[in-house]
Amino acid sequence: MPPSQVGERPTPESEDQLKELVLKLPYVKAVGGGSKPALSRDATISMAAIRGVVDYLPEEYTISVRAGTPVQEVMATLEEHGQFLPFDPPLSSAGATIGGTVAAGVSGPGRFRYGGVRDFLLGVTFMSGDGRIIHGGGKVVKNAAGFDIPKLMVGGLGAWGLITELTFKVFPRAMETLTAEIETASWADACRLGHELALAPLDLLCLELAPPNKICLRIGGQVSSLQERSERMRRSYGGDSWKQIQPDALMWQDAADFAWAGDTNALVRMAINPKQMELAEATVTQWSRADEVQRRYGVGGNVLWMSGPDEVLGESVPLLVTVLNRPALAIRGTWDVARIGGRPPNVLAERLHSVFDPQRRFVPPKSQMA
Amino acid sequence: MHDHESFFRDLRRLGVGERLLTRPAQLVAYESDGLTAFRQKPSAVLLADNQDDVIGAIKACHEHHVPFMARGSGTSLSGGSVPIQDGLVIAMNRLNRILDLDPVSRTAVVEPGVINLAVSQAAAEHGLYYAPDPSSGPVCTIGGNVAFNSGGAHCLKYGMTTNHVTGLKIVLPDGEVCQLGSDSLEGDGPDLVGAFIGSEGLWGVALEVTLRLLPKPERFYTLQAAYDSLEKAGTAVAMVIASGLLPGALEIMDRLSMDAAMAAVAAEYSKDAKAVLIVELEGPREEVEAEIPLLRDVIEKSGAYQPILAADEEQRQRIWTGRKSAFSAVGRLSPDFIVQDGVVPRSKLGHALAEIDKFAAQYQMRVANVFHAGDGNLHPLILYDGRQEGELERAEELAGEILRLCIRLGGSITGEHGVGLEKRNYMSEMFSEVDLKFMYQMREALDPRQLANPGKMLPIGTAPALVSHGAHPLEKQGIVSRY
Repeated sequence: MPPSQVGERPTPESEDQLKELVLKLPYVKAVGGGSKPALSRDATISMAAIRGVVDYLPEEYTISVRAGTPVQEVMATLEEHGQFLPFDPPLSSAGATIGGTVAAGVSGPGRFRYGGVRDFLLGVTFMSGDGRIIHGGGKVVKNAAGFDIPKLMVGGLGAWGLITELTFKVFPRAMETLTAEIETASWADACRLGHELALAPLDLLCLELAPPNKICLRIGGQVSSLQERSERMRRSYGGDSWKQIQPDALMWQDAADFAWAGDTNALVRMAINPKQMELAEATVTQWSRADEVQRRYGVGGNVLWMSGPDEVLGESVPLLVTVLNRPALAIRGTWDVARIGGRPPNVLAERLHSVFDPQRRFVPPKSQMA
Repeated sequence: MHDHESFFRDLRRLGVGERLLTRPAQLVAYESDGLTAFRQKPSAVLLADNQDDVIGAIKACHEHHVPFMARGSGTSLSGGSVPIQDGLVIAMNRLNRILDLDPVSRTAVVEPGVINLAVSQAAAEHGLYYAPDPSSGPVCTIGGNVAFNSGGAHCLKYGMTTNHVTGLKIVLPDGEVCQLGSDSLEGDGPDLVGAFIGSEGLWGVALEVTLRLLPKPERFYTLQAAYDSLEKAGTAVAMVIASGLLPGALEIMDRLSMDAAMAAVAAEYSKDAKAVLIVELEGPREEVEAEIPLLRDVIEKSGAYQPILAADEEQRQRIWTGRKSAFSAVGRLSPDFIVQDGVVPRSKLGHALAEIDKFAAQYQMRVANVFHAGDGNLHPLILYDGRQEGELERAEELAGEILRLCIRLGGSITGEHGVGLEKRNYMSEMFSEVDLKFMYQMREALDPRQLANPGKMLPIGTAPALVSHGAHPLEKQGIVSRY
């Protein structure tokens, strides 16, 4: 492993080197591409050298990759066979790695149709806190044998193990996609229409709402069908404001990269219920500096992404956490803890965690377990 | 050995009255499940009326060191709901209320005793449905689906139970209650909901389940094509996948399964076909219309004959009834059968089927094949006559050969039925000693007394035996007895 210089994290290249570090360091936290700095600022190990596609079987819809592989590299490999990760991993342009995506448990716009990172993760290899290499799950698209260990890595923020390799289910990409925007008279109307669209058998790939009054949706399928489907939706839901945006790939890549949020701003995510969109907006718009806070409601209103200056979000997000009774996860910006308003771990999590990390090497000193 | 009388006394203090069944005649119905080869007598059955009964019973079990198992409709095909000797069966069927069904958040909160199909029926008025569709859907319960991560014919596109549950209220093996997940599709923190699903009752019992509902597709296109060999049907699956289409279902039945389905539900298959392939496209009508010519082209080139198209919902249901009846229909061809559930990489399906054929010849037994071809999930049905000396043992050995084949080909010993009782001795062939030990430690952390459905998935105590020859290993250990 390259000698670590002052201020530089060790970059292990093998399982042996990883083990040495895990057993040596008092606190073990991995960073991938650093695209989610609020989650990795206290990292003690870089996964940059645990990298590369291990096995890609297009005909099986499966790919196995090392944890430090940039999402962009995975996407490019899949693209050669017309396949993709249907959950649109966020922040790929900022260098997000596949391991970091799983540890953060975040998904992008495509989560709406087929599911999130949790739904496409089939298998995991990780190092436990006592230096054992453990394989959980499997490498085929369907497997019900044993405990579903991979799930505990999703959103575990690194506290459940040092992920070294991941296997995903992948899908064929739609032949063609089409995106449209609809503007409504008010936020309440946008929410109503959003609910209606989500409930209808339209096979939407993505459905996002942007205050004050915009809805953005994406469909995919055969070239010959899209215009007809779009036209029917325009007549039923869109009216005069229906605006088709094509080609649309760049737009959704921007959405997955949070291009709407300023690079220097803080970014947080809240998993919410679609019914809370109106309350969330009513709360945020009352803030004195509300105009500095950008919001996007993704996955048909199941996730709220918020961006704004550190000091504004730092003050207001905890308030919103209380109003909505949902924790928030800091992605970018300066925060004491990444999980804002998170409840203490329940007894199931506590007991299981004692197996994954008996010496609590993966748990930040002074903070609660993820 | 525990003192049953003081245990029963504590249970009766919960006010369960006549709902605590202890007379042998009352217990007979609970001795077995969908894996009928094995039966075991519990010491009692509690017909739980509500969550407090379940929590109270589990606390009593913990206090008295009595093993317990929650049971829904008892349709497990892996012996997951075969009772534990001298243990308590907690019958969950009366916890069958749909507590909430919300079209805006597209979720339903249900009690574990709710029947799988009842969720879709209740959601239908909003144009929604619950996607996981095990063949036992009209009778199996959501609680059982959660415990075993049940699948169905539409898993390739939609995933299994775990992909459709967002929240759980559970009771742990010592009676502690936990709330996991929420009513949001997106999670927070480690995915404990996903981890609990498929834990086969070893982590405790689900009390409330929040399900994700999907809009019912507007249009279905269901095609059933006949082939003169299984291999051709398998190749057709590969061709469909290579075309870039993502069908809702891709299923294959072999001749023996067709014969069974014809006998049972008057399903129609051409007489000389060696295999049929069922492909279902679904989606918005324009999309399906655009995909039909692509699919027909692929099917034509694959050497299919006599394609049957479902012109309406009734015909579609007829095709599916034939397919979904196959398991039970095999009962018409043979007094007994074992269903296997191994998975192989899709591209190795042809090879796996040829090997299974060889095993069948070698063991001189009939094996019917009906399977979820889209995700490589085999369901070989091994036909035997339990009254014939040694037949069950041979059937089990044959089943073991098939499981090892799946492991060798890089697959899994179970796609959707779970490990349960019958496949636990193969866990050590699929997982390394280190990985298996880790799972033991997880169980130990949650259930140090080993009271929650012990003997399922993980063998009790020490590492599992490597092979099972002759009598079933569970029999040798005196854990189960046979009809």
